[in-house]
Formats: sequence, structure tokens, C-alpha cells
Amino acid sequence: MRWSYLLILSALFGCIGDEILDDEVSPKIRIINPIETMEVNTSYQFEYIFTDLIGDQAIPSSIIWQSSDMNILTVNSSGLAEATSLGQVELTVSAVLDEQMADTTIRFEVTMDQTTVKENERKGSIHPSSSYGLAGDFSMYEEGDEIVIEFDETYNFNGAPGPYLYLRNSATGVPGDTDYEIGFVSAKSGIHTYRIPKNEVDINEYTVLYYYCKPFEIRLGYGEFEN
Amino acid sequence: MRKLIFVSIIILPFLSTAGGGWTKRKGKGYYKVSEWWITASKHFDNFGNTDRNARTTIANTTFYGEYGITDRLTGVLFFPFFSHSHFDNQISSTGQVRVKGEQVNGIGDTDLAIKYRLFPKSKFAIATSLVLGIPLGNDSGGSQGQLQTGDGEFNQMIRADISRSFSLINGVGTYANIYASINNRSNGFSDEMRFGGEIGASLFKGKFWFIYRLDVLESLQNGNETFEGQGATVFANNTEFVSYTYEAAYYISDKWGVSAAYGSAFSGKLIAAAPSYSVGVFLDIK
Repeated sequence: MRWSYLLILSALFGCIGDEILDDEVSPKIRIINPIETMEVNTSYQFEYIFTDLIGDQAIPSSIIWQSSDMNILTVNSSGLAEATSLGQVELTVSAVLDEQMADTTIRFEVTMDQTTVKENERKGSIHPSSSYGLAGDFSMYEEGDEIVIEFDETYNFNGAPGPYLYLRNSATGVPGDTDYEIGFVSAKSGIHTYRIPKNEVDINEYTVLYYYCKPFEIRLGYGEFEN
Repeated sequence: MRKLIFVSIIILPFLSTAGGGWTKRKGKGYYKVSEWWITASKHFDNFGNTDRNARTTIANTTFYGEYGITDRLTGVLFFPFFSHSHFDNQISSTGQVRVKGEQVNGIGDTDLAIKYRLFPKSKFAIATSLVLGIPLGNDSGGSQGQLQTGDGEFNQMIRADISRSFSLINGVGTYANIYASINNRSNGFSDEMRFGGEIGASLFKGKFWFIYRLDVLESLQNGNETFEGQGATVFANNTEFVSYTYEAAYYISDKWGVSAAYGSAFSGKLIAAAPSYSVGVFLDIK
């Protein structure tokens, strides 16, 4: 009798159901080592990251690199570019994964000077998305063998249960295996930093700082990098 | 946070069935087995705004009993002998399981109380109760400690009830009750004040009862910070709410009956924003 009762109760309430998240975003592709200028008669290996419909990093089934002017810049199928003459040029990379497509274009100049990589300091602001008072401006830069994420005096957080900070490529949904967990959030206000080993994350790998309440599985806030 | 949000609601059904200012006559009793449940995808945050959370269900099978030790002294037991809590799998829009659902089962926190009727000859039924909250439940189940069948703290509540029965319309028995209590909590939880009232009316010579309750919980904000801890040991403090409950009870015979209830909150802080339901079978030995 007791087991029948428990079985009935389990059937009524014990079934773990499925809750479908509203986490769809547009697939994106980004060149994560863009340059300002490229020295003529040299080569440069461009790298990309493709993120899918829920912001997870994925390997596309097809990648196409294109130069706007083959007389200035040639590029092969793996993103290795060769500058052959001076001038302005656009480089486009397009990706396809199942029915997901994305492309992006960067512009730079081929010059006589040494190749210059785009400044690696990134900035952003937190956009609060729950009622926990999360706000503040931040920057991310390289320092020695670490990547530093620094919040300035505008930072504020009223607190939440189990808050964790992530680097992600989506501002919605639940962090997954391709996202980077920075750690537990204990700072409530003012200037503070997080430090990440450079061998764990590329400074241009992610587009979003994401605050997440683990016990409740909700987004507390996010900030998108402006650059 | 999940702990206090749902545990506070678990405690509420006890307060709702505590019999007002009346005590049981010696040797008489009232006993009820009921099933109470809530499924919530939203909660009231610490500012009183609603925010979403992973869909969570709590279901408690409880025994509630009142027994007249003397005509003026009643013993009360609220015992959730099977408490279940789970949250659902979180599935992305692409069908990927992002968070695997979890569940916990066990005994819930139990309340043991004695109620003493003051001024037995008064036309008002006035009683005072001492309620002891015994932490028999699990306060940190699940991989993140976010599933609970109890709050893990021993609390003591002093409560006063004033009740009066009267007849508004011929043949319709009516009663009203108001109460106030103060709850002393341990383990860094803030103490609480609770107050409220209920009004009930019976039809068909007492065979059918309809009851409306209003309950208010106010935190005294004198415990630990609202949010503390990390990872698997999170807890929140300072739950508050204004809630209402509709209950109907039907006497199948002079002693046996069935009941059903629906409850929700007008407002709250750190509490589930979803209705609760209850059905039960009772034995009323008068």
C-alpha cells in the first residue's frame, strides 16, 4: 500500500519535466585577431570563431575566405592571407553550419610599415536584466600572462543567490561547455578585477560578460563588449 | 533563495489549519492527511518584482493533528512525512539539455505545538500557542544545495489567536479569527512577525464550509545578509509576503470529510510567484 501510494505520488509530482528555454540568437562569425595595417609582401594567419543558434562555439561545415581585391591581398581556404601590393582591402569570412549562416568583414590597409594588430583593450557596460541592481562599466586587457577584466567605480550589485560570472557569446540562456566560467561574484560595489590565465582564453574569443544565478538558473545581468 | 522561497510556503499550511482560538475538548481531536503542491517558474525577488527561475515543483504529503490534552490544552502536530522537490530539465531551443533536472525526497520540517485557551468563559475564543519548528528536512539537496525539504534551523513561535463564531444569516454558521505571532529563528535567519485572519461560513447545517484566509509575513531583518555563500551552500534570508487562501471542506459523514484549497500571494519578496493547491481527507472527532 505504502509503495503504491508513493508510486502514485511520484507519477503525479515526481516526474522531472522539460522546460524549453527562450535562448535562440543569430549565428555569428568573428575574426578574433583583426589588424589595423598589414605590411606588404608578408603573410598573416587570420583566426575566427563561429557561434551557433544558442551562442555556443561550433565548427562550421563550410568556411569561405574572400578578398575584395586579389591584386592587393590573396587569402587561402584556411585564412592565410598574403599582401602583394599597397592599398585598402576588405577581407570577408563566411560560414555555414547546417542551415545556419553567418559572415563578417574587416577592412585594413596594406602599407610599407610593419603589420599592426588592433588594440587589444575591450570595453563594455553591464545591462541589468533582473532586479538585483547589477550595473557598471568594465574593460578587458592583457597584462603579462593574464587577461584582466576590470570594473570601475560605477559597478554595483545588490546581491543574489549563487552569482557567477562567465565569458560567453550569447546574452541569453544557460552557460554551456564552450563558455568560460570566471568565478563566483562576491564584489558588491566599486573597483575590482578578475584575472584569467592567457592560455585559457583568447582576449577576443567572447563577446559578452554574463552574470548568472546558478541555483535559480537565471540571468542576473550581462554586458556586451563594444569592440 | 530557493530554500526560503519554498520553505516559507511549506510552513504556511500549518498556520492555516491551527484551529484559531478554539481548543479541542479533552480526548477529542481533528486529524487530516493532505497533499499540498506548487509549481513555479517565477519568483518575487528581494525588491518585490517578479523574475523567472527554472521551473520547480514542491509537493508535500502531510499529517496534521490536533488532540485535546485537557479542555483548555491542545497538542498540535504538523508532519510532512513525504516531501518532494524537483526542478525540470532546462532544454535549449536547439534541443540540447543545458541543465539536467534534479529531485530530492524525504521528510520535511515538522512543527510541534501546544495551544492553551485563555478566558474559557469569554464569548471570544482566545488562545496562545507555542510552536516549535523542528528541522527534520533536508536543507541542501541537489548538486547546488538548491533543493530543500526544510530550512535547517530550529525556530520557536509564540502565537495568539482571537476567534468568534456568529450567525449572519439564519442557518449559516460563521466564524472569524485573527492572529499574530512572532517567530524566533536560529542559524542566522531573521526573526519574523506573522499576522492575519480568516473568515469561514458553513452551509447545509455545517456539512459544507468555505474559508478565506489572509496571511502576512514580515521579516525583522535582524539576521545574516540576504544572500550569502556560494556554490552548493547558498541560502537567502528575509522572505516576506501577503498571501491569500480559499479553502472548501465537506463533511461526508459526521466525522469524515474532504477538503481542497487554493492559495497565492498578492505580493512578496523572495517567495515563489505561483499558486499552491491542496487536497485532503480529515477526521473530526467532536
